[in-house]
Amino acid sequence: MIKDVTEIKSEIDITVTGAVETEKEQKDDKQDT
Amino acid sequence: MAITNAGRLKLFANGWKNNLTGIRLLNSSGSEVTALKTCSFNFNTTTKKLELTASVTFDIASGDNVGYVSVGRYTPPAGQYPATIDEYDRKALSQIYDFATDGTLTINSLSFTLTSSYLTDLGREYLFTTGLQSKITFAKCCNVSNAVLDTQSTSFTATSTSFDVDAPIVFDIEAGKKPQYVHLGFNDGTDKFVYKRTHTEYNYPTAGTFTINGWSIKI
Repeated sequence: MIKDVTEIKSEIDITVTGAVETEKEQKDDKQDT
Repeated sequence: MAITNAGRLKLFANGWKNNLTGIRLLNSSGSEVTALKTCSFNFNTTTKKLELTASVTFDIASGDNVGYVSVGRYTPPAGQYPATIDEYDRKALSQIYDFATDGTLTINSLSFTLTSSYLTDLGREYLFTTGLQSKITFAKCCNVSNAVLDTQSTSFTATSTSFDVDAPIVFDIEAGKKPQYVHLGFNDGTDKFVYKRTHTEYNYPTAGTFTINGWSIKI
């Protein structure tokens, strides 16, 4: 039996107006900028 | 949470390129913040990434927060119900953004990359654009020099958890041959390889068979 794993990763770039950043509470898999 | 079960099935069966058509923002509790928007993705043959084709801006009301970006297949509204998406991927942002006043959040870029020791560049492209299910019709057993020792028909089927071979693959190996690789692909006039896998080298002093009883690819 062959068992292989392929990973998928994402990258995101965002711009925000009118918000403040608060302490992160959830798991993240990639840094956004 | 990243890729969803529906996303995994869609990726292997049909690819994401024509199916990532809706995008939305979720708050820290996972509830939708604003109405979703349509979007489109293209496969970049240079970077080998599936990339959002244009930026998307959401208006956010005072008092809301944003913690996740969710993408999937856009489902038009039916009857009185609003449009929704069949969610394929949910990405957690590095911070939760609290909106004390009305504001905006713009997704300038969003891309997906596949990491695998065995996917070929063509396989990477097909996995994103069409899925691999229709692109695997043969398995070729090769020696260390990539000389083909035997070819067998095969097929794989996508599920919400993995991508699996439908039946054992049995290669006939001649005496004196040494199978080491198994390549998967299809023929459209020429052989196209989407997955190339290395095995331990086996020595066949007499003729025999080389059997792959099961093959499961997870993502």
